[in-house]
Amino acid sequence: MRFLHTADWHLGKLFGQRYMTEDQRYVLEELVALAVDEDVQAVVIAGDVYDRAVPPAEAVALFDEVLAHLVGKGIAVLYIAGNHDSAARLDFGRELLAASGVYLRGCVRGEDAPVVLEDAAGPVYFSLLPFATPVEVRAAFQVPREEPLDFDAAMARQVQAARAQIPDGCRSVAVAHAFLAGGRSASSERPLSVGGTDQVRPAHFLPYSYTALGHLHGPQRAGAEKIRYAGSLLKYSFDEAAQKKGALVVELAADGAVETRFEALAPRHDVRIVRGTLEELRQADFDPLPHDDYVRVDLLDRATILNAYDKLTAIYPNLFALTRPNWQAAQAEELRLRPQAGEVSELALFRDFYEEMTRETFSPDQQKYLEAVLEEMAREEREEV
Amino acid sequence: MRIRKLSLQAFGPYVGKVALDFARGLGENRCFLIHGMTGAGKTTLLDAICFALYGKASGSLRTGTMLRSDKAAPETETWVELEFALGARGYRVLRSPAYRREDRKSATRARAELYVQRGGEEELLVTGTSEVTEYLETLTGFRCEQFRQVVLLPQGEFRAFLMSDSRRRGELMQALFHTERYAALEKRLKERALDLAAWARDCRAQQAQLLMQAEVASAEEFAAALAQQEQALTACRERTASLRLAHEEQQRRLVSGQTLAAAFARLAQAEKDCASDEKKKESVEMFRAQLAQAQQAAAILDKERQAAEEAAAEVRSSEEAERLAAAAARAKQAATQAAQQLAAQQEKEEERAALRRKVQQLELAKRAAADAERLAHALAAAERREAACRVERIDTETAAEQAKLRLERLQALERLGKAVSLARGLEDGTPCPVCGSCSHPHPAEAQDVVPEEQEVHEAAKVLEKLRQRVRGAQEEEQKAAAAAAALKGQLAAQKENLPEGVAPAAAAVNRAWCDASRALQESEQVLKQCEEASRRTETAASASAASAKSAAAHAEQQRARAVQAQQQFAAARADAGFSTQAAYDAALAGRWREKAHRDEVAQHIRAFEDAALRHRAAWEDAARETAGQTAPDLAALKAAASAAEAAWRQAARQESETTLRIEQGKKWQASLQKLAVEEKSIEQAYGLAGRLAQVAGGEQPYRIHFQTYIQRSIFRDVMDAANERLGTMSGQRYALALGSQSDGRKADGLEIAVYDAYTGKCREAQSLSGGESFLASLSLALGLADVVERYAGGIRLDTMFIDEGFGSLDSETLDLAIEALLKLQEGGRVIGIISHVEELAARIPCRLEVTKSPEGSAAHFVTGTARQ
Repeated sequence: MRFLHTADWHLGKLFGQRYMTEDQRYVLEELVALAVDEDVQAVVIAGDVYDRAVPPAEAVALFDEVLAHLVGKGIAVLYIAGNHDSAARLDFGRELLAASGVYLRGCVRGEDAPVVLEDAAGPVYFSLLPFATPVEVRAAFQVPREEPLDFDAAMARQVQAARAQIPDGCRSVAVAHAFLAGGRSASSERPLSVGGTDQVRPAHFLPYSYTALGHLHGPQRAGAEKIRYAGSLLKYSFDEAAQKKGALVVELAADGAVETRFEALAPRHDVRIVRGTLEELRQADFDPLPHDDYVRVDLLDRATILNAYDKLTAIYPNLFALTRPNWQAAQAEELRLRPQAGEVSELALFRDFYEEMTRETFSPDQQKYLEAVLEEMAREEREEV
Repeated sequence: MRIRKLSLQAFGPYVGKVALDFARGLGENRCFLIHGMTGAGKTTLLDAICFALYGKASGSLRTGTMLRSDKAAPETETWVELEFALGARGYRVLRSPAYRREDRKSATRARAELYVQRGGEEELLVTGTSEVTEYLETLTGFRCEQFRQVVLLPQGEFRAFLMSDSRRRGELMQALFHTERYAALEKRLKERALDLAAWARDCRAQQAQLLMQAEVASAEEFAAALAQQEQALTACRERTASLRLAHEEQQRRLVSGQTLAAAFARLAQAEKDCASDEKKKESVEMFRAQLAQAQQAAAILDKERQAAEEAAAEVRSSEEAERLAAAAARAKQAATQAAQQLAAQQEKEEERAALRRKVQQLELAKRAAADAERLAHALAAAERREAACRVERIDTETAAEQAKLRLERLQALERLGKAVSLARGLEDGTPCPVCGSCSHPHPAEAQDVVPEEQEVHEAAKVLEKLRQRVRGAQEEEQKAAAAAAALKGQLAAQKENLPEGVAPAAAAVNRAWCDASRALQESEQVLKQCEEASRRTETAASASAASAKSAAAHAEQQRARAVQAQQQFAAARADAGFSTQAAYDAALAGRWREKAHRDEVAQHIRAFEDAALRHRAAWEDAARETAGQTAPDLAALKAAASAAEAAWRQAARQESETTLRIEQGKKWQASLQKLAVEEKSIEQAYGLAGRLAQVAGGEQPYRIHFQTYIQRSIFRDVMDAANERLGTMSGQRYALALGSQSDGRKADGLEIAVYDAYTGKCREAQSLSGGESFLASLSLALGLADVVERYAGGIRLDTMFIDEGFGSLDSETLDLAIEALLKLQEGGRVIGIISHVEELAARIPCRLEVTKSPEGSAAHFVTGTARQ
C-alpha cells in the first residue's frame, strides 16, 4: 500500500499580518497533483488541519475543495484533530463522510474502531488517535481521579485501546498528534502544555508498522525509522526558514516493511531571513533570490536609521518583520552594565547621579559631607522607631 | 497578594450568595479565564475584589450604592468577603456598603472588618470603613488608584498607567519602590544648605552691628581708633600719678592739724569736768555715811526675820488646837445620840417575834390552799368526765333501743313474710299449717317488703353490739362517778386543815404571807442600821478627842520657841550698835532695806571717784600736749585737702574710663575677627552643601531631582522588562523608552515614548492603536510586576487581573499575547482574564464560568477545554 503522510496544514493561519490561505491553496494543489502522480491509495493528515478552533471561512472552503478533489480522484483521506483544531467541530460528519472515503477522528472516545483499508495483501488497520489533553482522556476512558495522568500515560491508554481492536499479526498504521521525546521544535508550534511535561515516549508506537505523526513542523524521525513527522505544509515561522517542506510517500509492503520517501513541495513564496546593512541591501545583486518572498530583514546597522521599514519595503514588498540585532545588543549590554538601583547604596547612587548631572567628579569632601548627612538621617530614623 | 476565597451576596447581578474557592478551583493552574455572556457579572467579580479591599469599585464608573443588587430581598444584606494571603499571613476582610433598604427610610451604615489568621484562628484587627481601608493600603502598599493601575487592569482603563502624566506615574513609583527616602535626602541637603546660608547671613549681620556699636565704618578704622585711644591713655595715667602725690601731701597736713585741735579741745573739757567734780563732793560724802549705816543694819536682818516667823507659827498652832477641841466636842454629842436611838429600837424586839410566828403560819396556810385548789381542779375535771360518760351511755342506750325496735320490726316482717308465704299456699278447705284450721278468713297479705334473713341477722348483730356498748358506757360512767366522789372526799378533808380566819383562797393567803414577811424584813433592817450608826459615831468621837489633845501640846511648844527667837534678835541689835528699835528701823528706812539698792549706791560712789581721777589725769595730759602751741585753722586745711582729692579722683576716673573703652574695643575687635573667620568657613561649607543641594534639588541648570533620577533609573528597568515582552508580542517592532516632554524640553520626568523599529523614530504613547496600546500596557504591567519583586522591600505582585482588551487584537497578536501570559505561570503568578473572546476560552483550560439567569447570576469554576 502506498499512501501520503502530511500534517500541520494550519489552514487559515495568519502570518506576518496576512492570511496564508492563497499560498496554502497553491501548495495543496501541488499536493493533490503529487498524490495523483504517485498513485497513492490514501492521504493521511496527522492533525492541525486548521490553525484555530474557529477558522476563517476561506480556510474551510479550501479544505472542502481539497477533500472534494482527492475523493474525486478516488483517494481516501484520513485525518485527525490536532491541538490547534477544535476537536468537537472537526468531528463533524464523521459517519456521513466515512461513507465517501473520508475518515476522520475529532474527539477521543473510549471505544473506537480502526479504519480498515484493503490492499492487495490484505487489510491495513489505521488507528486514528486524535490529540487529547489528559483531562479529556481521563473523561473518555473513565480513569479514576486518584491515578495521575500525564500526556505520556494518556497516549499509552489511547494506544492500548486501539491495539485491542487490531488482530495480531496484521499491518497497522498509527496516526497521532503528539510531541515525542527527542524531537526538534520551532516557535510556531504551540506548546501542548505549559510547564508540565507534554512529551510522549516513542516506545508506545513500536507495535505499529508505521506511525504517522503531526505537530512538529520540521520533518524528522522520532525514535525509530518507522515513526516520523511529516512536517508542516509551509514555513510558518522564521525559525523554519532552513527547513524543507513537503510530504512523505510511504510504501507499506505486504510483510509490514516500510519505506519512506520525502517529496518536497515548492511554495509560491518562500519564507527566509536576509541579513545585511541598508547599503548592502540596496545593491541589486546582494540578494539573488526573489524579492517578493516573505522576508525578515535583520538590519545590521549600528546607527539609528529613520523610516527603515519604508525604505526596506521598497526592496522587499512582502517584508514581514524587521529586526535590529546590533542595536538591541548594544542596549542589552548597557543594561548589563548598569547596576540595579535596589542593590546599590544611597551614597553610590548619589555619586552616579551627581556625576551624570554635573559631569564633574564627586570629591572626597563632598562624599564625607554626604556620609554625615546620611548618618544623621539614619540615626533619626532609629530614634523614631 | 494571593486570593484564596471570594464570597459575596446581593452584589451587582448576584442576587444570592456566591462563594468562590480560588485555591480549590484553580488547582495547579495559574491562569484562568472569567467567562460569561454580556452583563452576566464578570467585571463585578473584580469590582468585588477591589471593593473588599478599598471600598471602591474597580472602574471609575460604578460607585458604592450602585453595587447593591436590585433584585435582592430587602432583608438580604449586601456584603463582600475576601480571604487573601500576603506573604505567609492570611487575612479576611468583610465589607458591606451603605445603601438604602427598600423598606426603610434611612440608609444602612457601611461596615468593614479585617481579621488576621494566625495558626488556624482568627483575630479581629480593625473595624470601620476608613480604618480598614487605611490599614489595607499600608499592608498591600497600594492605594485604590494604584491598585487599579498595576494589579487590576480595568476594562477600558488599562491604558491609564501608559497614558498618565509623569507626576502620577512618579507617585505610583514612589508607592511601589519606596523612593521617598531619596526625596528625604534631597530635602535634608536643601535644609542644610539653607541653614548654612542663614548662618552666614547672621554672621554678617553681627559684624555690621559690632561696627555700628563701635561707631566705625570698618575694621581698619577701628584699629586706628584703638591706637589713638591707647596714646591718650598713657598721658592720662601720668597726670593721675602727679595729682595723687599732691592729694596725699594735703591729707597729711590735714591729719596733723586735726590732732592738735583735738588736744586743745580735750584740755578745755578736762577743766570743766574737774570743776563739776568739786561741786558734787559734798553730797557724795553724805551718801557714803548713810550707806555705812544701812550695811550694818542689814547684817542682822535675818535674825529679825526669824523672830517674826516664830511668832507667826505660834499664832497658827494655837488656833489649830482650838479648832480641834471644838470638833471633838461635836463628835461626842453625835455618839450619844446614836446610842439613844439604838436603845429605842431594841425595845421593839417583842413585836418582831410575833411577826415571825405569823409568817410561819401563813406559809403553812399557803401550802394547804395550794393543795386545795389543786384538788378542786381535779374534782371539776372528774365531774366533767362523769357527765360525758353519762351522755355517752344515754346515747348508746337510745341507739340500742332503736336497734331493738328495728330488729323486732324486721322479725315481725319476717314472720309476716313467712305467714304470707304460708298464706299463699292456703286454700280454702286445706288446713292451715300453723293452726290447722280449714277456713282462712284473713290470709296474711304482703304489705311491706319482706326482709331477707341476712338483714335480720345483721340487725340482730347490730343490736348485740350496741348492747355491749351500752354496758361499756355504763361501766365508764360508774368509774368516773367513783373518781369524782373520791376527790370530793379529799377536798373536804383538806378544807379542815386550813387555819381559821384565813380564807381558803390561795391568792389571798399568798398576799397575806407576803405582807407579813415584808413587814418583818423592814423591821429587822431598821435595827441593823441603828447599830451601825452607833458604832460609827463612837469611833469618830474618840479619834477627835485624841487629835485635840495633841494640837494643844504643839501650841505650847511653839510659844516657847517664839519667845526665844525674840530674845536673840534683841541681843544682836544691841551688838550692832542700835540701842533702840527705832534707830534700827531708821537705818533701814525705805529702800535701804533692799540689798540691790545698797549695792547700787555703792557702785555710784565708786564710779564718781574713778571719774574724778580720770578727769584729773586727762587735764594733765592735755596741758602737756598743747604747751606752747596755737589752735590750727581746721577749715582751711580741710578745704585744701578736699580740693586736692577731687582733682586726683577725677583724673583717676578719666583714666579708668579710657581703659574700659579700650578693653571693650579690643573685645569687639576680637569678636570681629572671629566672625570674619567663621564667615569664611561657612562660605566654604556652603559652597559644598549648596552645590549638592542644588544638584539634588533639581535647580537650574540641573533639572532632575534626585528622587526622580532614581525613579527614572527604576523606570528604565521596568521598561526593559516590559520591552522583553513587548518585543515578542509586537514582532520586535515596538520598544518603550523614557521620552521627552511634548514641547521638546529636556526629559526630566517619567514620560513614556514608544520607539518604532520600522521608522526608527520615537513617538508618543498616545499614537498607538487600540490593540497596540493594550499590548504596551500589558507589557508595562508585567514589567512593573517583575521589577517590583526584584527590589528589596518591594511588594510581591503575584496576582493580576486583566479585564477585556483582548478583543482588540488580531489572531496572530492574540496568540503572542496568550503565549506571554501563559509563560507567566512559570513565575508563579496568578493571572485572571476577563474576556468573551472565543479563542481564549479554547486556549485556557481553567475557567470561572459566570451564568446569567432571571433570578440573578451565578459563578463557578470549571476545568476542561473548550465548551463542549
